[in-house]
Amino acid sequence: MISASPARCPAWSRKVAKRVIAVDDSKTMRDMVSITLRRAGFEVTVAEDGQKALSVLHGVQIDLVITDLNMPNLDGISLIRALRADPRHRVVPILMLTTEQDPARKAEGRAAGATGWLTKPFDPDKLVELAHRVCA
Amino acid sequence: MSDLDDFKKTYFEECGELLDQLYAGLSGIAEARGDAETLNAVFRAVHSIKGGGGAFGFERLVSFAHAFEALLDMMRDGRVSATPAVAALLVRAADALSDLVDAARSGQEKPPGFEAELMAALQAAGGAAVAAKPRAETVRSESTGTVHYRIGFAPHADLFQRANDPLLLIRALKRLGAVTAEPDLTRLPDLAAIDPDLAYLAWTIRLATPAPRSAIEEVFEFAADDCDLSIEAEADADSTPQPAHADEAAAGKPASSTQPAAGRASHPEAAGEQPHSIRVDVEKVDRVVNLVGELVIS
Repeated sequence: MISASPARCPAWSRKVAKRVIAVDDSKTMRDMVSITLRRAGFEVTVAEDGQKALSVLHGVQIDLVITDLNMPNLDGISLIRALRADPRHRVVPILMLTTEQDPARKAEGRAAGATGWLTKPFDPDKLVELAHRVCA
Repeated sequence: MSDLDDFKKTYFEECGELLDQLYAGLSGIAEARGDAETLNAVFRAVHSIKGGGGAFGFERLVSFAHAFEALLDMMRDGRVSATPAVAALLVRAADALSDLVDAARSGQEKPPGFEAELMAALQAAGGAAVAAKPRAETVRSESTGTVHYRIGFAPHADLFQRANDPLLLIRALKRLGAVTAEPDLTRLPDLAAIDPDLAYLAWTIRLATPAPRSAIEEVFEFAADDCDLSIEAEADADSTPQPAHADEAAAGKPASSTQPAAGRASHPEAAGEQPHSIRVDVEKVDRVVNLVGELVIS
C-alpha cells in the first residue's frame, strides 16, 4: 500500500478529477451531494439505488462511493458487500450517508466494509473534507 | 448557498411524491393487504422526508418523522404488529407529517405542541424509548498555542479491508501542522510472507499543531476501531519536526530485509541488534548501500 508520497499527492490530485458516485433514493440528497462535490472539483455520477449503482460501476473504476443505507431494490449495506466482493472495487473508499446515529448501524456498515460515515444533515464543508481525506 | 432554494424546491416536490407513496402504502396496511415491501416503502418515504428535512434544519419535522419512523421500524422487525388501532395511528401521523411539511414549506410554524400528543402516541405504540437523539455536540478548545503531539498509531492487520490507509491519515494530519512519521517495522515479516492486503507497519507520528486534540481524533475517526491509537501532548518542544524522510525509509527497508533470505551472513552485527523501530536518514541508507556494494566487489 505504498503509493505516491504525501507531498506529491496534492499536485496530481489537482490535475485528475476524482470520480465519485453518489447513491441515494432521494433526489434532494443526490443533488446536494453532487453539487457540493462538483464545486470542489470532483466528477460526480449518481444512482438512485444499489442495483443501479452496481450496473453503473460494472467495469468502471471509481475513486469514491457515497451511499445512503435505506434504498429500494438493493440497500446500502448490500451494495457495500457487493462492491467489496468485486476485485475492481475491493479497495475503493466507501462513505455511508445516514440519518442514523445508531452505533449498531455503523458497526453493520463497517462489517460490510464501509470506510466511514457521514451523518445527515451533512455540512457541505465536512463532506468535501471527508471526500479529500479518504480519496487516495 | 445560492442553490439552497433550488434544493428546497426539489425537496418539497419530492415530499409530495413521498407523501403520496406513504398514503398509498398506509391504505394497504389499513386494509391488511400490506406485505413486507409495502411496509418498507412506507418506512423509506418517512425516512427520506426526514433525511431531506434534516439537511435544511427543519427540526420539528425531523423529530416527528424520527418518532414515526421508529414505530415503522419496529413494525418491520415484527416487534409491533399492524392492528387496526396502529394502522389508524399511522394515518394520523401521516396527516401530521404532511402538515409539518406544509409548515416548513410556507415558513408558517405550527403552534407549539401541535404534534406533541401524536408523538407521544407513536412512542407509546412502540413501547420503547424513541426520544429524539441528542445532536452531536461540538467540542471546542480554547487552546491557541502550538502543541506538540506524539501519536502512536498501530493499525490492525485488516485496516485496508475498509479502504482506510495510513498514508492518507498522515496526509490528513499534515493539514493540521508539521508532521514527522516514523515507521515501526517490528511486525513486518519476510518478503515472501507478506500479504499485501494486510497492514504491518505501525507509526509514531509527531505533530506540531495549534488545532485542538479533537481535530486529531477526527482524522482517525474512521480508523479508530481498526487500530491502537494513542495521542499524547508532549511536555516540551525538543522534538522539532524534521523533514519527513520516513516514507522513503519505509519504502526502502522492506527491500533490504530480503537480504537474510539470500542466506549470506554478510553483516552479523546488524543481526545482533534487533531494532524495534528505526528512523534512517536517506544519506545513511545511501552509505550502507555503497558499503555493501564495496563488500560484494571485494
